[in-house]
Amino acid sequence: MKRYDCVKVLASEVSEDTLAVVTIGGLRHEWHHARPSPANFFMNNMGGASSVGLGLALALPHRKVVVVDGDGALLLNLGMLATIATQAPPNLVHVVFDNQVYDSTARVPTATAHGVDLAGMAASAGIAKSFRVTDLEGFKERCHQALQTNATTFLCAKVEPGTADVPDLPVDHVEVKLRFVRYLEKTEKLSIHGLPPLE
Amino acid sequence: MTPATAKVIIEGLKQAGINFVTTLPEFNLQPLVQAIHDDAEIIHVPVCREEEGLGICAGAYLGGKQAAMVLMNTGFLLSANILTTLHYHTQIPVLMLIGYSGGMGEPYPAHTSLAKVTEPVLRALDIPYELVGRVDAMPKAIRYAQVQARSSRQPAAILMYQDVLFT
Repeated sequence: MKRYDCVKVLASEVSEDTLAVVTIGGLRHEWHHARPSPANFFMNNMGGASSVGLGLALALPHRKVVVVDGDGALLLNLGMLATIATQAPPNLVHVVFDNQVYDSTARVPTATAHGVDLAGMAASAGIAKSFRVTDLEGFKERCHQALQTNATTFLCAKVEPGTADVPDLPVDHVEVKLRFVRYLEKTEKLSIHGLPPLE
Repeated sequence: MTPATAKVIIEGLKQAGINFVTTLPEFNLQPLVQAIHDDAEIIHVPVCREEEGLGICAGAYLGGKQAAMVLMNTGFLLSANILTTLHYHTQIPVLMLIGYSGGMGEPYPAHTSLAKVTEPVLRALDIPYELVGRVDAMPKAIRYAQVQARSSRQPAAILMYQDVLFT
């Protein structure tokens, strides 16, 4: 299954106000192309998307948060499966596109190429709704369920390596952050950039 | 750290507006971690590794929380990547209360090497920090560090040692 086909499916399933935290690499270009939105936060960091997504989900329990992750990035921050399972925010959906390689790094195989089962690890960590999907129809169904129900969900989609021929994400990470902050300030009526009182 | 010291620190955190704290436990920090866990006004997220906690704080900040992390300098040293690529590069503040293993007065020989690198790494990462060894100095130090973090939109740190860690 091609990753971009899955990305388009996930993009069609999320609501306009769903917050997305997206890992670094070719995936971010695909996500931006399929779902251009100020509700996207693109990471300038490998591994941290699941951490930022959990923080957002806990801070804004009434908003759906989707983490758009990769196998190499999750393997770099595996403890997050335990931390997410422990917190279990019902508004968090963690989607991992598992292409079994470090795609931006000369396509070196990741541990999943040797049989490591990320959905199995997530289930063992305690995320009851952990699924491994290998076909587009199954992916669409699992995404739909995850976004319509209130339960922490982990989805591992087994995909081919490679990035679709889409234009590069045209914005800088600082710009992405400011845009995301302004969007949340407006939609949540928050003052994220405000200062605490000195006294 | 005693529960009385932990109480002073947690009051300082609350006066500074902190309402979201990630922690990774350590023997001297445990009374503070427990006090944070028991406080109904603070969302507490225990983590497995410090880079998780700093990333979670970044997400909480983007979601409107005033976030801090309680960690040791060992864990701070593990976190240079996320502090640089996420917090520093994209201007996301985080307050760090760092237990200073190897700081002046350290009783364990095995911890003393950490003191050689902790402050140089803080300076290398361009993170403003203050050394605090007196318990009664903690609330103001926390408030100023939090104001600094939010005005600069960068991380800021307090290195806790001496009386703050040991009494």
